[in-house]
Amino acid sequence: MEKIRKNKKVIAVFLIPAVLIYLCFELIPVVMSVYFSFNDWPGLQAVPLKFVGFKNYSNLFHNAVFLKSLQNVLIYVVVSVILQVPIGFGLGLLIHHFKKGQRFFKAAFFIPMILSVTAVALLWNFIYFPTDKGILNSLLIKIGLGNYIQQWLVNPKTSLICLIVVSTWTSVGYYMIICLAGLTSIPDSVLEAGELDGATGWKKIWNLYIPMLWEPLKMSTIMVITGVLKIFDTVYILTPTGGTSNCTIVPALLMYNEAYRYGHYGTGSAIATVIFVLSAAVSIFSLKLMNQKESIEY
Amino acid sequence: MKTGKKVLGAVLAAAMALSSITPVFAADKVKITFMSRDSGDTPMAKVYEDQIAAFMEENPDIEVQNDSVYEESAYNNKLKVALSTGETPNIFYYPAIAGLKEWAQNGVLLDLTDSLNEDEEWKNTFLDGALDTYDLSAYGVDGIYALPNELNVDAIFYNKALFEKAGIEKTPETMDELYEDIDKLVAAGITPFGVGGKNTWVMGHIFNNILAKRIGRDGIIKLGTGEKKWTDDDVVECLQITKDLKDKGAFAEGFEGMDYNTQMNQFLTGEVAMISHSSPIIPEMFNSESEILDDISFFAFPYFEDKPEYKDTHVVYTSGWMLSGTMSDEEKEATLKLVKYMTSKESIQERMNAAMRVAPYKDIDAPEDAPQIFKDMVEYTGTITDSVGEYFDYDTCSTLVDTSRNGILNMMLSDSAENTAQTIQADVDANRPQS
Repeated sequence: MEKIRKNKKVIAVFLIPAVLIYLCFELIPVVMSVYFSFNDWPGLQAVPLKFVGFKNYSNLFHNAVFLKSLQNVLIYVVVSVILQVPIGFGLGLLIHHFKKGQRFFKAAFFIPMILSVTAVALLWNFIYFPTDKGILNSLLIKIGLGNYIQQWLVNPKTSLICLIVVSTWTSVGYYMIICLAGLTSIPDSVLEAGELDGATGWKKIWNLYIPMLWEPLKMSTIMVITGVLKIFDTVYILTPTGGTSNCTIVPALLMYNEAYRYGHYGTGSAIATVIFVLSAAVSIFSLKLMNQKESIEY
Repeated sequence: MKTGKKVLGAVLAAAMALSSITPVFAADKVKITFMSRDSGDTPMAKVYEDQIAAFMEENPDIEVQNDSVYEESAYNNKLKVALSTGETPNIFYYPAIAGLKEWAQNGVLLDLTDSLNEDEEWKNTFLDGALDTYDLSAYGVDGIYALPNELNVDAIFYNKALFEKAGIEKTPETMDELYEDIDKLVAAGITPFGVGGKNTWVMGHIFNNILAKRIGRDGIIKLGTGEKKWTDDDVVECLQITKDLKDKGAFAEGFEGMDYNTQMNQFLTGEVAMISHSSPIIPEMFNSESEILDDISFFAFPYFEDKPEYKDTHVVYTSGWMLSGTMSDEEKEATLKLVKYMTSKESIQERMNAAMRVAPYKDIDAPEDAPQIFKDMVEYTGTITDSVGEYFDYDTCSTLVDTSRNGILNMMLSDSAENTAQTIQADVDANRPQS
């Protein structure tokens, strides 16, 4: 048995199904998408691809809507990283610290994560409803801030941040769970030794928890970045047309419109490729930045 | 144990062998696919299911697969994937006219001219001029590429009780009368129009009616073919009239951020006096539990006194069935058989009775037990002699629908009519295919 297990041919045979699935559903579509991006195609089998070189890319980077979508998604990424990871990990640390009601709070913060995006969008539609009947607006009126009531999802100044709030509310539970999982793997002896050396309160968080949770923090940050760069569902349901003056348009929504609504498959594929390259570049940059600080081995 | 395994092996092998034989038997049947937007529990979906079942019973050599999808984006995605893989459904629906040009040119759609000419009786069941809707010769492709199936007739639906409360004795025929009525409703503390601006088509429909009443059918077609520009004075004027409605207090505060469901809820609970909509809203309203259904009626979109020549131009959206252009002879024969069955007088009447949809066929009457508003709508449809669809139906620029509707919403919020016209024209110039 041991001999069979060490046989490389046997290992290769068992790996074939996984490799085939990866090739068919991950690698080949990515390569095909890049290939399509250098062609014009109206989405009809009867029409052959027409090679156009970098024309689709050139058009994209001269397209004000696409540039606006890049600007929006980069704001989305930066604000999401600033909000989602610290809030998620902060909640994790709080729940870990206050043992009472731990199960309840874990479930309460994680529930938004398992709700369908449509349900979440409906809920937030009630909150952001544009008149004084909206939950947020009526709350503002009740606390005497009636001057600040808004058409939250329509006003170009507020709509993008409103979407970021929804994404943050949905996602923080996930990063809280990652933090809690990381915390359980820290030996008590290390924490006790730190406390004996005077690490309490913020010092404990800064000098013990953060260095020891550095790997989960890095992973969470990359997940936020890659997740937000391809964000589609929340934006599509809350602001289906990309908002007033394209204030909430993001590349994935534009890609969907170009390919499936307008029949510009080459342009859609070029946007998909840009999202892919951007995700890879931003992730590598973030990893390099975060790798400058070494995590603590214990 | 060993015997058990052998038996199991034999059973599995037999099952596999049988499954490979089954297609041979199934191959005797001609399989065709039907794809509409009516699926699930809607009354129309039920009628389609029954009619397809009855057709298959009459034609045991034909198997019809109903691939209908209710949700719009899911339907469009499914159709586009089917077209890109060459698996075009035999009968399907798509909301476009000029947009069909590329499909027609590339053989995706069947030219129905010969089939219609070969069967005069069938051809004559359609309302006069209805088949012209899908005659694409104006766009450079000769032929009729779809069969009109439903008519969505635009009108203003209103609440009689709220009109009475505001002291309005008769429905407006001209825009000036409509403006007076808006003033009366506002003075009585009633919001004149319910508008779910977040669903950009709602304002788009209002603008389309204004366009129809100011530049007429020819003007709209010229706009689509590029003979007219969005920046022309008369088109900018239409945008400005649409924007001015807001300043006249026609819409509720914050309507730009409300959705269509809110608009309908406001109308059906008697919060607002009017909505601009089309005939399919009638069954939708009667499927609701609204207590004001008896108070609802409709009137034609008012005309402009300085443009009497377009008084009788009405907005009617035609929904059609397209047939695949890549069928084998056998499939084509079976598909035409099905489509003729579905467009027979009995089938159409059955669908109208069940789902209250206005159909572009001769000699079809509203059912006796239908609500009065539907009977009135069928009668009103019969009086229409000059109709026009959505402005983007006549344009081959696929991005126009979104750019124009988003532009109109931006205009209602802050942008000027001139800037909106320039933005739309720039999009058309950049994205309209050069033929």
